[in-house]
Amino acid sequence: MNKIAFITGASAGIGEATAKLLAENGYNLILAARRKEKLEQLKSEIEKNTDAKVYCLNFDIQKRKDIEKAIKNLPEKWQQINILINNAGLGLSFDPVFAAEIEDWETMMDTNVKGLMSITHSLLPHLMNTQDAHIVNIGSTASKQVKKGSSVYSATKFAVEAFTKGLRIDLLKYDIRVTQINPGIVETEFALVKSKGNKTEADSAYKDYTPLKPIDVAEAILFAIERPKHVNINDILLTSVVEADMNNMINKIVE
Amino acid sequence: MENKIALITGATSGIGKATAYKLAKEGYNLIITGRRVKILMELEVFIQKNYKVRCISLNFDIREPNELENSMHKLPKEWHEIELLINNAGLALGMESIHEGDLQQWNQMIDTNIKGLLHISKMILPGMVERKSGHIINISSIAGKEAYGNGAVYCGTKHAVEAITKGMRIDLLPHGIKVSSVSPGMVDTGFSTVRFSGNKEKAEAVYKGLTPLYAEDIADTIAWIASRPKHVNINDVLIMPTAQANASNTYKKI
Repeated sequence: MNKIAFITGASAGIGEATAKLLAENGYNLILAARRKEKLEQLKSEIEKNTDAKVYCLNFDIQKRKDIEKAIKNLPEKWQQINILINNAGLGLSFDPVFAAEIEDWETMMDTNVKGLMSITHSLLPHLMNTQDAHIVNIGSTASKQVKKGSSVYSATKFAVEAFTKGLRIDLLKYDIRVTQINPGIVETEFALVKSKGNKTEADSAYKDYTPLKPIDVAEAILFAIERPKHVNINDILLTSVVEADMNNMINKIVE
Repeated sequence: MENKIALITGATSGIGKATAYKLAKEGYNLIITGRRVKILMELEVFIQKNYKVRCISLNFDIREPNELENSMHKLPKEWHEIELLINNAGLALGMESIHEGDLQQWNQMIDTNIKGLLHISKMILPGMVERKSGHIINISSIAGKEAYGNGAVYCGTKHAVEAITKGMRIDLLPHGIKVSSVSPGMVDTGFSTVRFSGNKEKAEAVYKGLTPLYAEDIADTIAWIASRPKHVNINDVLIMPTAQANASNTYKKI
């Protein structure tokens, strides 16, 4: 039987690329996201191009009751979840703390921290009942460092890191693997969301260099989940070659 | 030579040896280095016989600057364009509380894990910078992320490797050189036998009741890091046995 992977934030970016890559590699998918239409579109595309079966769940990860309801109502044959990929997350505005909108902070904390924790809590009974269970949390370079304007975004991603580490200790006896994948700048809708839809600003963020592509991150996820059972990739930190770390961008290769 | 050249330090056993086999399989021509000349020569012959790549061995103690430099200077010209440097040579010696540690063992760890790594990198980096191409993969450890009891100095050396890796990345990415590290938890190699000066009983007790990592698991990870697309730099992979959550928490079925 094919393994089932549950991916949050599956309608775009890293989530979408991961869904496609896992489908190509023989996983069946539960795809969760807010945007129903995009999700259904992705489902038909995947089912057309691969043998994977896809089940869509439509909810806002910020709403704990909605998550619980959606998971409670999972059809019987979709309940043996092997892999949870906690991908849903966002960065909203990188203004200095004194100029930031408090609502942006709350949205980030409710999605990146509370959403991730809630869905993990709801799915743990399923994962603990399954062979070869694996939780993959998407962290960030911001799980490791802070840069100008990133205080709250970094705080949420530091929280993800602490949660990952704690989960790993608590689940040690249950043979559940826990991995965190930490990408640097990725060319996704992230920049567009960050600049609240300002396309010119979003494009200029990538003008001078090649960022990671969503598929690069998806491949790191696949590498982690395909290791032998006795191997747990705790953490992968990956960036494009123009980002040494969050505070050291390389503008061009020295001639 | 159309194949890329990889240099692996500490290639005579454990992770180094497994990586040599793996990279040979992937088509790298290999420079293998180590202290134990007999094992090194055997490995050189074995790789030449069993893989479709070229292999040359350099025999030196990475702690001895003169030995290292003389040996590197003798490297034939067709071997000069090293594309991949695997800084693997390293060791842990002793497990004593800090007030009871052996100064000689401390020096040996510091001279190998930190100074040896730096010295060989210094020999190879100028060429990489000139060619604007290259990839360094430093073998660190969970001990580079966390300190554990009775391991202060070993953990100190691996924390140093972690800092050196991060600094190298900032300095070298502008020159088109990738820098990565792999940080393993418990790997069943000769590591613990060396640490306990040949005491097999003590060494075996470390891995009893759990499935540790094997050298091949790390070699596979190194090969994966080296095979990423041109624009992707894997900064670090922390790889542990499923039965080991971190430096202090393991689950043993005894």
